[in-house]
Amino acid sequence: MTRYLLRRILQAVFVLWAAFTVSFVILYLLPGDAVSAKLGGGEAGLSVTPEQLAAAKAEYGLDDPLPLQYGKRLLAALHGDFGRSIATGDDATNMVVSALPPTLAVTGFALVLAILFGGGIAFAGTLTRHRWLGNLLLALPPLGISLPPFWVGLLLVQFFSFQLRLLPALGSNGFESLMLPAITLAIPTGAIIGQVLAKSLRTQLAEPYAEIALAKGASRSRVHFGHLLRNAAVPTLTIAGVVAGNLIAGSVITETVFSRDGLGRVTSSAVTAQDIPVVQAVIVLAALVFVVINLLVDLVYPVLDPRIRHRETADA
Amino acid sequence: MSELLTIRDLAVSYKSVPAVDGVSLSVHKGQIVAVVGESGSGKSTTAHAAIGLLPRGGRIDRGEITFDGRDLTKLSDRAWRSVRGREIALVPQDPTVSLNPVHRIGDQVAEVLLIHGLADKRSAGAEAVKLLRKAGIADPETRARQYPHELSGGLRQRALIAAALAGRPKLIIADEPTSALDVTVQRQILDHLEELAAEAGTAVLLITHDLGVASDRASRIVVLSQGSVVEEGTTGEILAAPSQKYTQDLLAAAPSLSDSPLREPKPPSSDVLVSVRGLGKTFGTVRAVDDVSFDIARGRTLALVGESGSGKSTTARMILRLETPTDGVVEFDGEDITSLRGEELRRLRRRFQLVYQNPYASLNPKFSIEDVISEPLRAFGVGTKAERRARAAELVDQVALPSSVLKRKPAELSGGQRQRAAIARALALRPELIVADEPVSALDVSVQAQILRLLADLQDELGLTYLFISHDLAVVRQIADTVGVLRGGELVELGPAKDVLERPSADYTRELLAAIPGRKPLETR
Amino acid sequence: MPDVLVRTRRKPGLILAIAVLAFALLAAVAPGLFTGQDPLAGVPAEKMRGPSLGHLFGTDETGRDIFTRVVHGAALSLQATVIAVVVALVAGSALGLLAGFRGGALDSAIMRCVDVLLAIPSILLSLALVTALGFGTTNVAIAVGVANLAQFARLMRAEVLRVRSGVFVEAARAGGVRWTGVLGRHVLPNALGPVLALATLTFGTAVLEVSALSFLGYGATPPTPEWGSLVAGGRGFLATAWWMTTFPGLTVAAVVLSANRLSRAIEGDVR
Repeated sequence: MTRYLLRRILQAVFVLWAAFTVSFVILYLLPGDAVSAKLGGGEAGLSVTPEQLAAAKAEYGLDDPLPLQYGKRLLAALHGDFGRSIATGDDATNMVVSALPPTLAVTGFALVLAILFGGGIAFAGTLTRHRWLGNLLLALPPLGISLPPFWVGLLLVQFFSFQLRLLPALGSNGFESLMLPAITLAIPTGAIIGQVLAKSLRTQLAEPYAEIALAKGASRSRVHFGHLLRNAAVPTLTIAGVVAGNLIAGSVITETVFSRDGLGRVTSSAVTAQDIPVVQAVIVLAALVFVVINLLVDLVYPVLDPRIRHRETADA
Repeated sequence: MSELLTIRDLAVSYKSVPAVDGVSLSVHKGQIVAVVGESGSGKSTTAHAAIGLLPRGGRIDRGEITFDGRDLTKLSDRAWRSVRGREIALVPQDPTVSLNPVHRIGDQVAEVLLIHGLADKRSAGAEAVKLLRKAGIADPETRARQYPHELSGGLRQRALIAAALAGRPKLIIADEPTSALDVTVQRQILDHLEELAAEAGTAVLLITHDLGVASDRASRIVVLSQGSVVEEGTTGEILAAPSQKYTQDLLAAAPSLSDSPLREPKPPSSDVLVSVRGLGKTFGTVRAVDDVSFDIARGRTLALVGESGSGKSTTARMILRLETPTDGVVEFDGEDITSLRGEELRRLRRRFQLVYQNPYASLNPKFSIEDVISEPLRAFGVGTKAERRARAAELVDQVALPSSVLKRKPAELSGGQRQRAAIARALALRPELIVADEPVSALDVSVQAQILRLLADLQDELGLTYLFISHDLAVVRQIADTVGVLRGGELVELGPAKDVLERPSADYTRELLAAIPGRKPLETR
Repeated sequence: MPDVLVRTRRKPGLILAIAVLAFALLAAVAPGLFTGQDPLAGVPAEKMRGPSLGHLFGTDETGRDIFTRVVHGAALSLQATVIAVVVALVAGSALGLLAGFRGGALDSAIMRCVDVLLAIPSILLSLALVTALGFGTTNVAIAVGVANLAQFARLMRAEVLRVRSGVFVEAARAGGVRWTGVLGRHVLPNALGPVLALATLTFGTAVLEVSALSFLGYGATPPTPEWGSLVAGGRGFLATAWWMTTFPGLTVAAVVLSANRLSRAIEGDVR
C-alpha cells in the first residue's frame, strides 16, 4: 500500500514540477514583453528610455540568461515565491492566496449543487421504469455542457435580478450573492458529473451481476444503490481532478460576469496586464489543486474496490 | 398434479424480431429437464422469460408460463420480487462476471436470505456459511469473507449455486452453468448440482448446447432450433431413436456422443516437419511451459490437449515464433528457428500459418473477405492484383464457401463461414504447417463437425501438417493422429491417438476422459 | 461518413444538428448569403430595437443589426475554432500514434507530458498562451488548440494499443505483414472513427472556449464581431435590451449542441 501511495505522490510532484516548467516556457520564453507593455503602455505611447527599460527588467530578473532564470524561479517557487506582480508590485503568491476564500465559497457551493443535481439526474434517469422520463432526464447533461457559462450567467442575472428582483446581480456580499454565480458554475459541472455517472451506471446495469441481483428478488432501487453505485463510483471519480480544474477555470468567467472578487478576477486582470508572475502562480495553484484532488481520489479507490486494494498490497 | 412449470405456446421477440415462436414444455416437481439448442435457438430467451428477466426490448408476444398455479406472464414487478430467488432461482453461465466484484462472497449469498426475510442481519452470515459449505466449498468461513476475484472459476460457480439454493426454491434455472469452466471442474459442479437438487426436491431446467451434458443429467430433453421445439421426450427416447432429422444431425455431430472418429488415425511416420526439444517459457514469475518435447510428422495431425493455463496455446505460439522461447529449441524442417527474428523470420512465415479460435476477432472487421484472404499474398508481393484475386476465388472454393462471400464483410458472415475464411487465408501462401488454436470451440456443434471435416479433407488434398490445440478431448478424438496432454505447462502424456484415448497411462488423462459429458451408458437413464 | 447520413432517417435531432452546423459554416465562409446589412456601421435611428422582421435579432446601441453581426461573427469564431481543432487533432494524434506504436520509454515520456496538459485547466492554459502571445483571434485559436491536444493524444494512443493487440492484427503479422502495413491498413482505419467523433466533440468545446476568451476581451478588437464579444457587448444593456446578449449566446449554444449531437451519432456509428 505504501508503495502505491509513494508512487502516486512521486507522480504528483512530477506533475507540479512540469506545470511550473510548462508555464515558465509559455510565459517567459515566448515573444511578448510584459515589462515594456507596462512601462510603454501600448496606445498610451509613453516613451521609455532603453536604460529605464533595462533597469526595470533587471528588477524583475528578466535580464538573466534563461536557464539561470529558470533555476532561480524554480527554487523560489519551492518556497512559494512566484515573484512580484508586474502590474501592482505586490507579492504574486499573496495576491493569489488572498483571493482564494471568496472563490472557494462559490466553487464549494457550486460543487455541492453539481453533485446533487448531476448525481440526482443520473440516478433518476437510470432508475426510472418509464423510458420517456429516463430519456428526458438523460438528455439534460448534454444540454448543460453545451450552454456557454458566460451567457447563462447573464441570463440568470437578467431573470432573477432584473425581472424577479430576487437575487443581487453583482458583488461579493452575503449568501444571496453566492447563489447566481454558484448556479452558473454548477450547470456545466453538474452536467459532466451527471453524464459520466449515468454512463457508468448504465455500464454496470448491463453487467451480469446486476441481473443476478434481480434474479435473487432484489428491487430495482436495491440493485441501484446497493450494487451499482459503488461499482459506478470508481470510474466516475476519475474525473474529480478535471472537475476541480473546471471549477477554478470557470470562476474566471463567473467572477467577471458577476463582478465578484476572487481568483478569477485576479487572473483576468493579470492576463490583461500581461502580468506574468501572477498568471504563473495561478497555473501552478490550479495544478496543485488537480494533483491534490487526484491523490485523495487515489486514496479512496482501494477503499471502494477490493481488487485495487489487493493488487496494491500484493506489490508491496 | 406434480407439474411445476408449464410453458405453453410461448412467443418472445426482441424489438419485433422473433426469438421464440411457439415453445411448449413442462417441468415436474423434482425433475431435471434439459433444453438443448445451438446459438439462436431461443433456449436462453425461454429460460429468461421463465424468470421474468428478458433483456431490454424483449417482449412476450403470446403464450402462458404457469408456475405452481400462477401465470407468470401476468405478474407485476412487485409480485415477481417474491418469486425470484424464493420460488425460482437462476444459476448463470459465467461466474466471472456474475458476482458483484465489490461485495464479499458471504454477503452475496446472505443477500437472498435478507431480501426474502429468511434470516435477519445477525443470522444471515452464519446461514450463508452453511450454504457455502453445502455447495462444496472447503473452508467456507474464510471464503465467505473473501471477494470474488480471490476465488477460482469453479468456486465462484459454487457460490452462485449456494445463492441460488439459499431461498429453497422449487425450481432452478441453470443457464449453461458450466460452459465457462474447465472440463474437469464442469463435471464436479454438475454432479454437485444434481445431488443438491435431488436432496431438496428442487426441479432443474438445464439450458445447454451440449447434448452430452443433457443426456448425462436430465431425464427429459427438449430440442430447440430457431425458436421452436423440434423434438422432446425422455432422454432414453431421444438418444436411442430421435425422430427428427435435426435431432439426428445434432446427435451425429456431438463429438462426445459419437463413438467413431471422423477418420482413422494415420500410422506414425518418421518424416519430421516440426521438432520441439525442452521447450520452456517463463512469464515474470509464472512458468507457463516447462520442458516440452515432441515431433510433428509431415502430413500428420498432432493435437495438444489441456485445460486453461496448461500452456498449450503458449507452446503453439512459440512454434510459430509469435513468442520467443525462454528455453529449448524449435526446429522447422531441420532448421533451428528458435532465435530467428526480423526479416528472416518474416520470410519463414510463408511456411506456417495460424487459425485462431475467435473467427470474428481474427478478421479485420473493415476488410472485405477478398482482402482478408489475399492479405498474406500482398504482404509477400505474390502475384499481380488480378492473380491475387484469382487465387482468392480459388481458395474460397477450396473451403466450400460461395464466391459471393468475397465482396462481403466479416460481420455479414456466420461464425462457421468466418472460420472457413480464416482457413482460406491460412492456405493462401501454400504453407506446410497449419496451427489451429481452438478452431472450433466458438462454433455451434453442427458447424464444428463441418469445419473438422473440412480440415481433414484439406489435409488429405494438400498434404498439410496440423498442430491442433484444444481443451476438448472429444473434438480431438475426431481428428488427431498423435495426442499430447499438457497440464500446468508440462507434457504429462504423449502418444498415438488410439493409445492415449483408449489406454491412457497418466491419471490426469483419465480424469479428462472421464469428464467428457455423454459417456454414461444409456441403460442407467 | 455516408453511414451517418443513412442513419439520419428517423432521427430529426440529428438532421437538425447537421443543418445548424452547415448553416454556421456557410455563414462563416459566405456571410453575404444570409444578410445584406453592414455589420460595422449602424443606423442610429434604429438603435435599441427589439427583434422584428427587418432585424431578426434586434439592433444594438449604435443601431447595428445584431443578426448581421452574428452572421459575420461566425467567420472569426468558427475560423478560430477550426484552427484550434486542427492543431489539437494533428499534434495530439501524432503524439498519441508515436507513443502507442513505439511504446517503451518514448511512450512514458510522451504520456507524462500529456498528463501535465490535463492537469492545467484548458481555459487557464489558453489564458497563459494569450498572456504570452498577446490578444487576437489567431492566438486564441492556437491556445485553445494546444490546450485540447491532450485528449487526442490519449485517444489515439488508446486506439493504437487496442487495435495493435487485436487478434486480427496478430493474424496479419503472422501472415507476414510488416509493421508499416499493419499501421496503414489495420490500425489507422480502425482508429479513425473514434478520432473523428472526438474531433466533432472538440469542435463544440472549442467554440465554447474561443467565445469565452473573446467574451473576456482577449479576442479580436471591437468593433469586429465575434460571438463572445457580442455577448459581452450586451452586458450593459441587460435590463433594457435583452436581445443583445440572448441571441449571440443562443447561436453559440445551438452550434455546440449540434456538434455534440453529431459527435454522438458518429460514435454510435463506429462502435
